[in-house]
Amino acid sequence: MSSNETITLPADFDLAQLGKVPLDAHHTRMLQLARGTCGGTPAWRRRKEAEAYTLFALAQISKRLAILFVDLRDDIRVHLIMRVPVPCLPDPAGPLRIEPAAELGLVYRQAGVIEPQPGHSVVCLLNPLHAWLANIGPVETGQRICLGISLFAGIRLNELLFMVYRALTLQTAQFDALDSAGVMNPAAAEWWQRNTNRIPLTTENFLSFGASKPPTPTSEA
Amino acid sequence: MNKPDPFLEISLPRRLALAAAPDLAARMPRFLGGPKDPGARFASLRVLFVGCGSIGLEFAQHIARWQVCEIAIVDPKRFKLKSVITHSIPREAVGQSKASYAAKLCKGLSPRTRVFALLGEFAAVPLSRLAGFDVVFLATDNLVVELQVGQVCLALRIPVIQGSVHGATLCGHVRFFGHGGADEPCAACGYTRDEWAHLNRSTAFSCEGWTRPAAVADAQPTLSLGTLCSLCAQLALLQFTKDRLALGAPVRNTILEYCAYTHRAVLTNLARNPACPCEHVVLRRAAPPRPLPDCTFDDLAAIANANNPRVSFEVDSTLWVEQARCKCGEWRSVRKFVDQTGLRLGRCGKCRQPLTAHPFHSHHRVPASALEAARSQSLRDLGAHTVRWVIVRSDDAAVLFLNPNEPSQLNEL
Repeated sequence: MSSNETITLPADFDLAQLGKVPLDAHHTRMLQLARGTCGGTPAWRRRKEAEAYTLFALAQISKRLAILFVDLRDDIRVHLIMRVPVPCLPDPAGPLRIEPAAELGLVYRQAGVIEPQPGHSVVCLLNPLHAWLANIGPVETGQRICLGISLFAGIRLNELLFMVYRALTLQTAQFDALDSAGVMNPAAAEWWQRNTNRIPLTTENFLSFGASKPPTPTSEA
Repeated sequence: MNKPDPFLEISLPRRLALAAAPDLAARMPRFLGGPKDPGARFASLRVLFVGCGSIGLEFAQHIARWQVCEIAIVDPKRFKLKSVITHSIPREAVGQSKASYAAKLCKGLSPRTRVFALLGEFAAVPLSRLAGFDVVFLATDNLVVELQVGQVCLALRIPVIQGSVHGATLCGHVRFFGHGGADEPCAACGYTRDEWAHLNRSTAFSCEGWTRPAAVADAQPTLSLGTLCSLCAQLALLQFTKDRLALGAPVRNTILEYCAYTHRAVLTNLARNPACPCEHVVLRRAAPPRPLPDCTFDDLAAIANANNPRVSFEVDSTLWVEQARCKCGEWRSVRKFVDQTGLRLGRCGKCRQPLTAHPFHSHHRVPASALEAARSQSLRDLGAHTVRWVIVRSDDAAVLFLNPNEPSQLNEL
């Protein structure tokens, strides 16, 4: 978000081409920094560098993300800010407050490349505190965001961020405490069951934030 | 001081323990082209069984008849009524833990063998314990476990022999993974797209039938005759015998398929898949200069010859916690190792609520650069009081340090 450079995307651009988006100077510098300390086996290093590249590319084209740092020393560790409405309820008797952004911490372990990982094990909401969502755990355990029972092996980093976006905006939601998937915050689940008229918090899609909209599709699906 | 061993040792009542055991040599043939002392080659064996269903139970009880040195059995489940159809168990065993039933059976067959049972998952077996086994027999119904066993056994260079059946075609398969080096195949090297999909769905090919909750995993029961399961186990044991006693052509890194429709057996080589997504890294073993809690990271890195900036350390099952957070949002720097079972780290200076390790600021594998000055402090001073093993990784090389007294601790359990 600190970049002033404008990248023009081709008309037929889709997310599968993120790896080909030329990075601006700011994101290139950040990628070089992360690459400088990237550790692990050659295959894991290649995977991490590719993930980091597409992450920076996504941040660049969407303007919804600000990457604060990417650490590739062992796991992939990303500290970022996502511009997304986050429902909070600091006072259980008070009104719901919608914060404009989420500060997130993401840890993608090497095991995640080959084994399905628990859905709550990857992303934490660092700020704001007191998020009021059925699938976010308490502050004392790191406000882990649950993205489902399990995440499939080899899931892409960008896909995780789309899932986080959909979870925070309640575009996807699971409120049933009796469902075998369970919930991380039963009180919030119950609250949202009573307030379904407020769901979702936005219908805007991930890429349609701000001025940098994706190219208009040439034909309707 | 010591971390508790997750296995329970099985013992016999005194009168049975003192009873004379049969001499294996009385029935051991002089194998054509085989060694003079086949019995002795079995006597020193330490064997781990993962999965004790219709195939695994056959593995265990026959290995016990060979009066090996040690048997350990891992299975989290219990026998159900339908188990009687495919498992060689009496009805009285229904409801009992598979691992402890099999372990008691083994101990009864071979009182000289040290027999252990773990009613739990394979992931609960500590690396230091696993490193002491000579071979792993795998007969699990779960692809994730299969993958985990394959990965860790390849890293430790422990051969894995896996038995599986396809009931409808009367086929049995025996895979023998030699795990002799990083360039050898692992279980995942041969996975098809369908198998990766099953892995993602956590499909369990269970011999318990359709009784497991669908939400936990897709349960696909083993639809097979017990005889096919037994036959598959016997074929696997014969493959192992050939390997152990160096009989005939080598069987490592092969798959033996037997079809009872045609009575044909086909032996095919297994090869490393260059596109395998798994980490094919073999751990070189090294001795620490003193008990691990008294070592520093600098000591271990020097022995491991790991002196580049991309080194990382893994200390037993501990977490390196950089920061903890309170319910009120207050952060506190921790910078020490914490056992994963006790993540509470004192109280918040602001509101006196308990502090817990923050998952984003905790590392299971710790990059050397995160330790900085702590590299010259002993692991004990950094909070790791009981350490059974440490792995030092550097690019595609890795060194495993086991506590000097770790194997003798096992014998004293």
